[in-house]
Amino acid sequence: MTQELNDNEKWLAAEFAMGALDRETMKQAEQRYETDRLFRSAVDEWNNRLSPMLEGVAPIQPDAKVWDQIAGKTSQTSVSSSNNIWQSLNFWRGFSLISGGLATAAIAALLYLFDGIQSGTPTITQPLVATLSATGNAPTLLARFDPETNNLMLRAALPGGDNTKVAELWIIPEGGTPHSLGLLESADMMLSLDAETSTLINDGGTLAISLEPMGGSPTGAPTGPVIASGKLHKF
Amino acid sequence: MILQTHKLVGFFLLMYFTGPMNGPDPIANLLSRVALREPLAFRQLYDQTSAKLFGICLRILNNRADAEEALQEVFVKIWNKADMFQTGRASGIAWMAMITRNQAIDRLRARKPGSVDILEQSDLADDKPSPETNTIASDEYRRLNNCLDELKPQHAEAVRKTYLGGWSYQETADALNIPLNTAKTWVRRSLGALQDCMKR
Repeated sequence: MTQELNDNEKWLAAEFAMGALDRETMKQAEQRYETDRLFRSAVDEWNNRLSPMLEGVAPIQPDAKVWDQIAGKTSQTSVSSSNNIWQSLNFWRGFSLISGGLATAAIAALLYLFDGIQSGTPTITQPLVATLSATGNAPTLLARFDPETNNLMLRAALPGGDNTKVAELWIIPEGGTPHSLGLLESADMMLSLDAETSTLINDGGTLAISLEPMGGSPTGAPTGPVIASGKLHKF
Repeated sequence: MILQTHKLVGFFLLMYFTGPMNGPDPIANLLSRVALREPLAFRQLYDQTSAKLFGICLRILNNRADAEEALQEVFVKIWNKADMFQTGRASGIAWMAMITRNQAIDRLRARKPGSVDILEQSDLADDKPSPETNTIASDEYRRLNNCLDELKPQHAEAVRKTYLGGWSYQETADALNIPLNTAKTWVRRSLGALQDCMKR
């Protein structure tokens, strides 16, 4: 492949960005945009140059049914392409339905119960709970830490994860630095923490999830974007 | 109060972890999350961009039902192809607008192959920015329009009709009553002039 586009190819990039070509040529150019790096950057340059013109186009709210149709079509795609529960739109929908309808306290109560009804007298050490959400949204993950057993229970509605990225869970003690608790591999997990790690989990600490390369953060500290975070508090 | 603290911590954490890596392009950020198959991000992306993209579809297709179908196809494409988007090249919204325009233009060309139906949109003043738009517009928008104003009015019109209205060379030629090759020459010459003007 040559390192530079010739004049014809440069015009093709500009005219593709303009949308001036006939249907067949537009389709061919679109194909090329996806496969040819040089061509793509030439088109992107033109796009950046011309797209400010679109500011003059007034936004118009589409009918609500448009989203329903999109949701239907993409849900089909995602379910058929993978059996991963994190990628299932239905799973996510069910989850946000529950969490959207309940207060955090109620979710916490469910969490308290989800490993079985505790019998006997109340314990002195209190469990800690956290709901992790992307800023301003329904919880992405619920966590409950039992200081008696050092078990951290997780229930995730994390849709993240393709073949190149994994979700990693971190604890950031109040005023401290992030410490990895491991990779999130399924929707329901129980992490048995060692005594040392358990001391990091305290009221006021924060749980966070970042996206990392396969195998987890190579540096021991978060390297990818944080997709959710939430503070631990006493139940 | 507790909730606010919680949000604040979340915010600072986000800043702490992501730093300048994700840049100031929230749409690009959402696209990256859509690439990771995150339905919530997809919904947010829809909420933040669908009205704009629908406006673009309507401008090209001039028909609500058609524009709604085009918008549907656009978002299905974005769900499937979000991993094609790479930050740093085009802005998130510019990339989405490109997909939208291509989809709407494809529909337009399929609808009337070779035929021209431009009578309903032949008002040549209609794509010029209104004074109101200009007061709230971005620097890029103003700069681009200043550069368009440096072109001959008919040439600028050809560029606007092609880009915003989805006109092909053939349609521009028919609408402006000029030969096809002249339309091509005008648009190419205008693009060259725009490129130079915007470098200044």
